[in-house]
Amino acid sequence: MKTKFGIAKVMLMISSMLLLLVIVACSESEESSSSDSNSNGDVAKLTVWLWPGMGIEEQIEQYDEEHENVEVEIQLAEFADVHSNLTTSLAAGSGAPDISAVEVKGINKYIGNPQHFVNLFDLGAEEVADDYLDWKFKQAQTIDGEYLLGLPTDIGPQAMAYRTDVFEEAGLPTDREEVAELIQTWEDYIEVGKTIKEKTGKALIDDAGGLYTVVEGQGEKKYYDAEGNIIIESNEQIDYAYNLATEVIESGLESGFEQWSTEWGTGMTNGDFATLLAPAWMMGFMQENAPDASGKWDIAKLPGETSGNWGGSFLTIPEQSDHPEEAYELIKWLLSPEQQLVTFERNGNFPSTPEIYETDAIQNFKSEYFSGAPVGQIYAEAAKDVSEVLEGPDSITIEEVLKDAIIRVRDGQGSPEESWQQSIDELERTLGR
Amino acid sequence: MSTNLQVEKKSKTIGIFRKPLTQEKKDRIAGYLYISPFFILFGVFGVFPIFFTAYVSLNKWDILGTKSFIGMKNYALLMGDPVFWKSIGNTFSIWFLSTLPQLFLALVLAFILNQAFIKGKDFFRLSVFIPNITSVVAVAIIFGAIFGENYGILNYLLSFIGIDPVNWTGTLLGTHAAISIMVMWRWMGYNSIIYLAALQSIPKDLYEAATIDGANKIQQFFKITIPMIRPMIIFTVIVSTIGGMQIFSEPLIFSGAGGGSFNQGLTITLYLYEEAFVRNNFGYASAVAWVLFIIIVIFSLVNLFITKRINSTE
Repeated sequence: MKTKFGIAKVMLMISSMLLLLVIVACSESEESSSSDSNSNGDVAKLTVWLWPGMGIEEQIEQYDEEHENVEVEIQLAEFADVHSNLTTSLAAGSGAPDISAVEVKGINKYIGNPQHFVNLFDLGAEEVADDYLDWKFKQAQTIDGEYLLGLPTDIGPQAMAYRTDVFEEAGLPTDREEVAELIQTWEDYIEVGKTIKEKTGKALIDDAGGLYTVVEGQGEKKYYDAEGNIIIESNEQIDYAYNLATEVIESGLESGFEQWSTEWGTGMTNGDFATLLAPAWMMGFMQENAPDASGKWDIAKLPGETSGNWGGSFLTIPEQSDHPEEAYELIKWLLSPEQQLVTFERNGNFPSTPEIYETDAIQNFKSEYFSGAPVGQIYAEAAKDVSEVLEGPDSITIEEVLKDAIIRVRDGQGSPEESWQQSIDELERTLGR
Repeated sequence: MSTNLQVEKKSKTIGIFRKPLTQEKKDRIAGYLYISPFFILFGVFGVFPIFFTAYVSLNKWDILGTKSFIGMKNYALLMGDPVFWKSIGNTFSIWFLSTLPQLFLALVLAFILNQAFIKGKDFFRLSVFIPNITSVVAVAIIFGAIFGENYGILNYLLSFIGIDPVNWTGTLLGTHAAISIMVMWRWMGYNSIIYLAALQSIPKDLYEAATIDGANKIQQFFKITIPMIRPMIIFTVIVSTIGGMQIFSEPLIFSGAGGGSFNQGLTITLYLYEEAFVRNNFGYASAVAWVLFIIIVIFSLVNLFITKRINSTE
């Protein structure tokens, strides 16, 4: 009896030891695969929230490998989800990452409640302030300039991507200088669109909503004035952009592909539309969504007087982070002029650090995808006349509701005037809550 | 007098601790302990949020800043909000379009699966249930590609029978039809498995007798099958009603957070989500949640009433 009991005990011990061994082996292999860090403890684990297409994942992984004191985990989510998840976890007081990307319109939602983020001025961000474009750096600051929520990633100077094969078919010039000469204003642009439609039957542009955003971004102001008043109805640029977008729809020059939809990439590959208005970061999206169209697109200067800006983001450190110093070191390195240059070369996101605009690395940078166009030079030129555009706490909602007005016109849900009024009414209700 | 009473009370309370617990009392305590996990979880995740939502709905709150009390203003705004009424209309329209054909087809499917001549029954039973355990998001993305206007498979197939491309996402009927089809695809199998279980409890001799009397399969279906499984039909109708009031993922992925440019795909829960997590009007969203709650209660009562009447006619 006694020996029997002993055997059972020994068996139990052996099996539990085996189990333990397996568990240890598993966790060890996991550790070594994620990074070859020292197992001495002092490793700061950093989680980073990004959305697809930001083009900085590889550099973050590189930083992870080069630094033994940090272990970085990147978590990708859809653009809108990153922002809403961040808001919820900030409010809940837990669950926020150590570093989160926030887009320019999103950062304006947070500026009213900066206490949820680490003030980067406390970590020494003052010393890198001069690296960045002045207006861009200010966008992530509170009005009194005391609090800095994030460091700038890229900016979105704009240009026009066009299909050389479609232009050729329509009997138009294909050289980027000549195209820029041909299309100087948005009125020229629509004229060219009519020619293309007539000769090839193809659309001029993918999505009139994109045209609206681009033209709106060319103005000096958007939805807010310097005092924070909403100026949608008095801003002539918005009126102009809306009329242009609806004119494109009513002349049948739009392809009907919604941007970011599943079939958008297919249309991009097949050349169903002749032009695509592209902020610098769009280059990365195009190469990802339509890899087979390499060499068929080219890039020329944007019609209109200025380039304007569309988008661009920030990296922030939520207050909940346990390792704000390590997180700051990472974003300081990642967003330094040298690393922003690397991002640009890999993905097309245009740097927010003006000192490198004139360097050979940018000026001589050509893109194979865009038929060897000197995209570095084109976007650097465009970036020169980008100036600060004020955003406000409700910019995201306003943009969404105004763009809905354009989609309604496309879907035949009312005249441009009716549709516009419907959006204005909706904004009045929504913003009054 | 009063001191006397206190002393008496004291001795009583001490008495409880002194006396060993009777078996009956121990059983009672154990019983409550056994069921307590459910009630604790339900209290934390069920009851508390309901009342907290009621409180939030009386405030203006963007969750990052501070709450400001505004009384019933959110409800007043809600009553005058055309988008909200549209979302209720959409919810009922999608519910109606998806539930009725779905339950009927599920019944037919279950009836076929229950036939003796079908080989490989287990395979088919598994197949009809698989859609139900597939990720909704994956389903909605695939369906989004199927219903594409320019390169969607459905429009391609329709072109063979001479139908012009349908703008599924940009029309009210197209959006409702597409979302209903997604819901149907996902829940038909679930309901047909329930019906199948009910069908198998029907005695075979009823069918044999009917066959001898010369009734064909269709007559058998309407005269024997449906009356025999009436309780299960009522159950599925109630469950589908409650589920239908809360359709969310399909319209979110198919039409986006706003439910499309003219809110053609906006359901009540989607509106709630958009107000809370996209526009950060948590007070307003809470008011939407409460109105939705009331609507579901009303519907459940209507269901209960109908069910009782059906039962009493039997």
